[in-house]
Amino acid sequence: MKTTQSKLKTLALGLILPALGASVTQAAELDVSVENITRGLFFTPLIVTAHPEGSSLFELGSQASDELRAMAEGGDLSGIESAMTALGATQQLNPAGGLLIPGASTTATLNTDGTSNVILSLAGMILPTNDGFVALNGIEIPQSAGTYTYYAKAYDAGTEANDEIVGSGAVGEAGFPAPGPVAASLGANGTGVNAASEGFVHIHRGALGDLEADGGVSDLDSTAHRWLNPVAKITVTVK
Amino acid sequence: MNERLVSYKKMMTGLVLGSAVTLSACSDNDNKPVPMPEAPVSNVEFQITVKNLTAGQPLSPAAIILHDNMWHSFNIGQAASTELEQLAEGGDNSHLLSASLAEARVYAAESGMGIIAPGQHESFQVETNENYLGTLSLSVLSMLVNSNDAIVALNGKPLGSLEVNESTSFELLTYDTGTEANTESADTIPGPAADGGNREGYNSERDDLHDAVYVHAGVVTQDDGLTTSTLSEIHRWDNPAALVRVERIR
Repeated sequence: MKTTQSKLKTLALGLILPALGASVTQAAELDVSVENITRGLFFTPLIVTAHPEGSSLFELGSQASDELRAMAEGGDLSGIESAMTALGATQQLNPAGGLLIPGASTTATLNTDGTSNVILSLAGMILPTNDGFVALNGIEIPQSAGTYTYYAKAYDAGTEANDEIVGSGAVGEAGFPAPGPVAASLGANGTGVNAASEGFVHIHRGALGDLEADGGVSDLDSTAHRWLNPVAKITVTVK
Repeated sequence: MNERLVSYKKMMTGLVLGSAVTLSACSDNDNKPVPMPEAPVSNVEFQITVKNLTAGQPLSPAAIILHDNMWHSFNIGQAASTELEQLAEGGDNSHLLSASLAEARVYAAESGMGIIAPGQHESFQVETNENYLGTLSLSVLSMLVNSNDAIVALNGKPLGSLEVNESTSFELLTYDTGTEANTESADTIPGPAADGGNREGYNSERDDLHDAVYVHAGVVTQDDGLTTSTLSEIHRWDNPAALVRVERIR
């Protein structure tokens, strides 16, 4: 990314190459389209945020912030929203107006004109998981008008044991919330997967699930709630 | 790290600019040829950081290899070398490093200091002659130690376009080297998940379904019904299993 960025900057400053110079503009308005490309997962309301260089939602291998944890365990975006607002971020919350179901897309529109918000991130909790989330963690917003595609992965915030049992979305409480459409795809009365919180943000190892609609170790269905990365296709259109 | 680097580093034979040049004419009275000061070998240097992105798979000491763009430590669909097998089954990178370094297309081959635990990272500094920059490529290999013969690998990515102080990152896939059957038993897995078993590392027998390297399909584990497995659900992973960040520092 850095390499590309530097080259673009050079071109933008130099304007020696008229053919390229014409298409190089400062990003002002961009559409960020998020498509849930999984077969059986749901995304809770997303935050789509353009923010200054040097800031990020999380660092892989490090402990999750309280704000990230609240998003990952219960879909609560308020902490991330205020933290990013304090940085002067340009952002949109919940463009889907609720759950983003398998196969569905939603688009956020950001206008970064007059700001130093050159980095794009997005995040939302994945259901049904304990503390799994989908994210794009800080890509440099392209400076040339055009359409750019990224693929987002599923992360584990490392803050809650992956017991795979319907329960609470409150921070520190076991289990995960199951709003209507999610509940309809789940089993019940699982005994709980024997797991502990990992302590650091990492690539999610996937759900275990089982084949018992009633009982078993997990409330997840191993044939329906399994996934492999990537879990979302992100299309950024710089105008 | 730097001591190791010196011991592994390949001699830059024939590329030491000006070192053999002497001046035959100069202003000295005695007319002795005065040797020209040896021009410094101009090296490029990279800081390479390997981060473990898995939940429960420690990574064996990494093999870091700088080479040209024609060399590969393995090829998808082809049988693994014995040296790669030794890394993939037992986490021992020494044979792969020494064998690689003996090849003309390999410029540097370095070992990491130790195991990289889940969520942890390790940084290395590796240098080579700037004359190699045009085709310079990087490979990184490490075993997922709670597996039969899974490796995480960066299989030859070009570094030549990186300017000083620029960085780039690579997300690494996991591969099944195809040299050992994926029994997941405690007798065949060397990592801590096989506590109580024989924990065998390298064995020259090749008994996997296909004697070839492929992208890894993941482990099954006892939690998902493989009763003979010593692994549990925490040992599963999805890609990318590691992140490699490369910064050119000189």
